[in-house]
Amino acid sequence: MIMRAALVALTLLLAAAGPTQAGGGAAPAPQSLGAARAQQRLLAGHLLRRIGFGPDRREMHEVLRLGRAAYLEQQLHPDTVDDRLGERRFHPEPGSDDGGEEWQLRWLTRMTYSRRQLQEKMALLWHEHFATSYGKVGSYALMRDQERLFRAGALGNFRDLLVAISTDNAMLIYLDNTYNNGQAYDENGDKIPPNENYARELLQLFGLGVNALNLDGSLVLDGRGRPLPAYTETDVKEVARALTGWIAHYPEDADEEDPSAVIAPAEFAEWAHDPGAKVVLGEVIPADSERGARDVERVADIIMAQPTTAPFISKILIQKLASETPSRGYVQRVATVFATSRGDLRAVVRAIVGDAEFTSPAVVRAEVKTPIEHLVGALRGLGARGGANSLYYWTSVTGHLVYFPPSVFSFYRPGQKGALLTAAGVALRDQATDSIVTGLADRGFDAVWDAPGMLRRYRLAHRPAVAVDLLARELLAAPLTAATRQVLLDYIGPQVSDAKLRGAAWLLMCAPDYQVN
Amino acid sequence: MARTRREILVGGAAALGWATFGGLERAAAAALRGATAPATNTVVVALNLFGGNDGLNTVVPLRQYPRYRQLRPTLALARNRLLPLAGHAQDFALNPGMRPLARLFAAGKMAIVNGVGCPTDAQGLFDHEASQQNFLTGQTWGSAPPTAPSGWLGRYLDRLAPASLPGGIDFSGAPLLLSGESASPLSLNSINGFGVYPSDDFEARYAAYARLHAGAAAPGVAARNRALRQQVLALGGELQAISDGYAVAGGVTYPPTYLAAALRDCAALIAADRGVRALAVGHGGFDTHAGQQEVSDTTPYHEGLWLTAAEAIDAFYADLVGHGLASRVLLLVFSEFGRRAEENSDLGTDHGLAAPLLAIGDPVAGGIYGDYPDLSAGRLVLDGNLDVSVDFRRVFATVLARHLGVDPVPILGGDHTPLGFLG
Repeated sequence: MIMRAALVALTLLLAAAGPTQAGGGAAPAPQSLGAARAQQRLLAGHLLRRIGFGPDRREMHEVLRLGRAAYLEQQLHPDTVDDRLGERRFHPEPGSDDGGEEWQLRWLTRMTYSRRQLQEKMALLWHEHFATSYGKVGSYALMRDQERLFRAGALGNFRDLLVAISTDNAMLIYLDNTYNNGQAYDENGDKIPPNENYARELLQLFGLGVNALNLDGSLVLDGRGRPLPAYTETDVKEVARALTGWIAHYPEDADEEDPSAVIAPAEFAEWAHDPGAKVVLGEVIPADSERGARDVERVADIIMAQPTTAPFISKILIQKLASETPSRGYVQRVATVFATSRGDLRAVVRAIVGDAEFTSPAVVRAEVKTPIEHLVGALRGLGARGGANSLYYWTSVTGHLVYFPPSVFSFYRPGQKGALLTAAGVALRDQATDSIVTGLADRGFDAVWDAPGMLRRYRLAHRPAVAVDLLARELLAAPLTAATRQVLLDYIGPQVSDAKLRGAAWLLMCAPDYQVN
Repeated sequence: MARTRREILVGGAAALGWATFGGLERAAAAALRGATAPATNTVVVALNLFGGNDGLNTVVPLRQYPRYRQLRPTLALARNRLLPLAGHAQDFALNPGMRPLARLFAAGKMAIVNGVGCPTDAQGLFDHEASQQNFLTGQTWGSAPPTAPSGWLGRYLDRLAPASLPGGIDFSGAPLLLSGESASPLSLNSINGFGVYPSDDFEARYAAYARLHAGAAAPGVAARNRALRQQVLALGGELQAISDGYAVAGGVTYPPTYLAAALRDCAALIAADRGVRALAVGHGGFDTHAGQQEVSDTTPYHEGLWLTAAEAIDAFYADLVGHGLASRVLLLVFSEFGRRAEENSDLGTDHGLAAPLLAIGDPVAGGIYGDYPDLSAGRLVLDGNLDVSVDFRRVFATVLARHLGVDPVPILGGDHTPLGFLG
């Protein structure tokens, strides 16, 4: 323990003492060394806030040691990142007697403590994109399986993700595609139409979007300046026919669910599939009464071949990882990679993060934090421990609890993180950080921040300015505004007590400086 | 561990000890109770039924019952379970979950406007998002709105003088309805527990918190955050006092649902009369693609949704009457679209078009308005949907002109003839 504390302190000293790597290119002039170092730290923090859930000491050190490009490459190959230390701090997997919320707690602590930050960010991104709620699915085991699908496919191919989610048990239940019967007839022998719910959302939200888009994400307009639709009502009905026949597996006993249960994948039933030919977005899926299960792959291929798909998905990824208001050029550059790589998500994320716009002043520290980014980032910045219950409670009341998006339109729409930023919402965020810095274990809030340890290790008792700058360094990884700094110094006064250190940390997380991602 | 979690979830802010403070606020609250509101301050409460309510199973057209059964072999509601509508027993009947509303109708306190919807040449008709946007903005931009859309009630609020509380308060999660060019609604989960109350070193931390947000902030996200925290600082105490000071009218009990809790907060805000003129509440789950009549807890699913809504509305109306506020308040109940005439193969219904809309309260001239769409095969439109007989903007024009007393033309950007449901 002492050993680790000493190591951390040493790391910090080294980072403060000077650049730990030569880096490429010309060495900065001596008088701008400080500024160059500050800029490096700013961009390292930026990278960690966007491809993960914000800086902690270890990852900050890693980015500065490896350089941003090499760090990104490592994160793009999560299997190469040794995560044994992180895993020890994940909330344990539930046993058969536990409640299924344990899976949610495990995910929240993964976001907080995993070193595979990009993989976790992408898993959350896909959960937000393919929004599915326990509220209707009714099985934590199935939500866990879907979460695993998102983690495994986080940086894979988008086409494969479309096929996998279309046949995922939880999604089949959530959007009613399970038991969607393509061979149902009424008493007069007329065919009863299939359920359109999943087909519509697959086109509207998941794969294509409402409007036809140019490669740069702008609307394709008709002669009268009206946007052209990306698909028609007929396409919805035809996709619904193509996706008939899939049957989800439910846990055996939904009322007394064993959250550790292993659930079989969904099955395809030829008898419930509409075998006739379909015309989807102008492409014919030929009649086939023996291999109907392949229709879902054909639908995914047709979606992937639409010119709108590359800018539609690319823009959503940019909006979640970089900027909610990207330039057309940015969208076009990323969409080009999406199109030429045929949906290779690793290449797409590399293009987003490697783009010059990613580190432009209009993007760095200019975005809204989601509640998860706000609160998980707080625990990471403070170097706190535990926090599973705290995160569960506070993400729940701020409308960002995993497994519980309010509808298929998710917690917020792409480009509208601001919808999560309400007066009630910010009050709750500030209540949440209050509970984290205060340590309210007796009331069920289990995040633990070792404020006394920080006071001791850095000998802060008589050094309020050092305390404020240290907090800013850890929590912001960016320069602190003079106004906020002064409020914190005035609040602390001449002596940094335990209560004053905690109060200053809370105030910093309530300040305008901390709200920008 | 699971128990702890449940406890803090149930306890909420109260578990933190944040909801109870200050004698000062309590004194203010006590003073509030004595206040009486002038009857001219009219208020609209909008109840948004998210997901697309099945209008055909909400107000059943009895004169078209055989055709209705034919379209809905499994989902048609049995005649003997339907609730007759006083004075219209041969024509229409209500979903069995709407019993309290059938009573309000009989008392002349509810208007049903049939066939309401967005014009059928608009874009995005079957899309939740675009259709919600149409109903909230009172426009038909569909899926391609201008960059900064505003709500039709928000544009009304723009015209009001500033008051102690914002003119619009949203509990629905869809604040667009109350967002104007300048009017910005306050979005709340509840008026109870809204505020910032640091657990330790309270006075010093609270003062520093206020100072943090008193000065300027960088434009953009930081400035927005600062403005929101200024609202928290300015309104937290006032709203808590209103919540603590509000006594529900004698004999009235709100059911233990989110919708009822939000309506109770609406009643408290209306009673306080601090300038709140438009409120929005929401009730979700109406996207009944499958298992629409699946029984859980003895009630079929869609009926259960209406039961929750009807019981909450019933308590809200009785509470308003008890406080002498009913003459000021109009409750408008709408959804983004109705559902397909024909049921699907999953015992559900897919996205549709026209549906009935409800207007409830003392300002209402109760009765039936608008033509019920013709269900016969040749009269359904856009591949099997109920045609629109009343342009939704006519309903909004009615509310603006006859209840809120403003000219609807500039607000709706066109002349839409008002209906008679507000006298």
